[in-house]
Amino acid sequence: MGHASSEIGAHLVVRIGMFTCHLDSIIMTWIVMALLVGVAVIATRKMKDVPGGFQNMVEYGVEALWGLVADNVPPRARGCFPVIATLFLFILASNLIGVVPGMKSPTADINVTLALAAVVLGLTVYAGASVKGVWGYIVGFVKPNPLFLPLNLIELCTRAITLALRLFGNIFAGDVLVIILGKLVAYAVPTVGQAFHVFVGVLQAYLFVMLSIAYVTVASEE
Amino acid sequence: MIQIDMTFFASILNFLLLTALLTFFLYRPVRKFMMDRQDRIKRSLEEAARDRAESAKMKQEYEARLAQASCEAQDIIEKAVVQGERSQAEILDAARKEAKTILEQARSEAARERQAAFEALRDDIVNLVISTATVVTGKNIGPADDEAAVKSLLEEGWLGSAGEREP
Repeated sequence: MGHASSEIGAHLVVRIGMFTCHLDSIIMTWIVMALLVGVAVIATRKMKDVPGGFQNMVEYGVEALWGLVADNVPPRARGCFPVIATLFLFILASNLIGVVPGMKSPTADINVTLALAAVVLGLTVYAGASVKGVWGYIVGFVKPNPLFLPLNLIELCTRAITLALRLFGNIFAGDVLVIILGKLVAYAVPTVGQAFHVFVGVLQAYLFVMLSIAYVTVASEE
Repeated sequence: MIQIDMTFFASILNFLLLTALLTFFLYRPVRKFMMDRQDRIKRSLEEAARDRAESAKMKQEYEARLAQASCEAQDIIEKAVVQGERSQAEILDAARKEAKTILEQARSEAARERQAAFEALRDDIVNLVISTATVVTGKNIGPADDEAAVKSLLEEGWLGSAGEREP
């Protein structure tokens, strides 16, 4: 096990052979996963034809996400829906869990946001290749002429990297803001900072998912 | 400090695992439940529409039957009226015939009785005339001698006028 630091942005690092791993981010990710799966199990345990408050909220959420995906990626909605819905729920829960005292947002770790962006990149490639065919999708990178191949590849990667950096930057900054405000002023102001962090967390989750859908849509267009 | 390490790959695996778990525990059950419920509601609406159409059809049939029954009842009434009128005419006819028969019988009976009364009266008159003639002439005129002459006399004179005065 490596060092644990109280510095802003520091992680609890474990070393496995020549590789290192941020244990705090992994643990927080597992907590978020357990939370989401637990809520999912409770929500679907006793579903009624006439839904109550909680079931209604879950149904509305799933239906809204399905509508979002189905409206924007009609040909591959069934394949893309689980990934995009999970992206939204995971990012939302990860962003908001940082507000709880003693908890830390997994999305304040660049590795996590990059992993999410990599998933979006994979989904984009899957959607493009499944709609246009593998060869058709590859040929799309040399249009309008082969000189554009590097530019198109850079664009593809840049989209994913900007997704990751935007999310990481906002959540990390929010965490930093909350910590600094907490140290500077004891009462009221940190609460306002936390409320702002909640707002930013919801907004960033929505933004990440909307941009992901836009990239997938562009990739799957004929 | 920004450091890319194994957390990146672990996060990808975690995310894929979470996607699988949520698909199994959330998306699939909720969507299946909602689609089943939608199907049930759709079926119920279709059944209701079918029942409504069926009831409208039955109502139409009943109305048609009712109209038909009304027509049949009207026919029956008209036939009954015609039949009643015919029966009334027959009964009246029979009654008239019977009355006529009774009247004729009464007339013939009356004629017979009048004839009988007339004959009895004539015999009485004959006897009276003979008795009177016997007293006037002083001769005993028996019925065997002159009865026939008296009778013819009476028939020619008295009875002729008596016969015309019959009731």
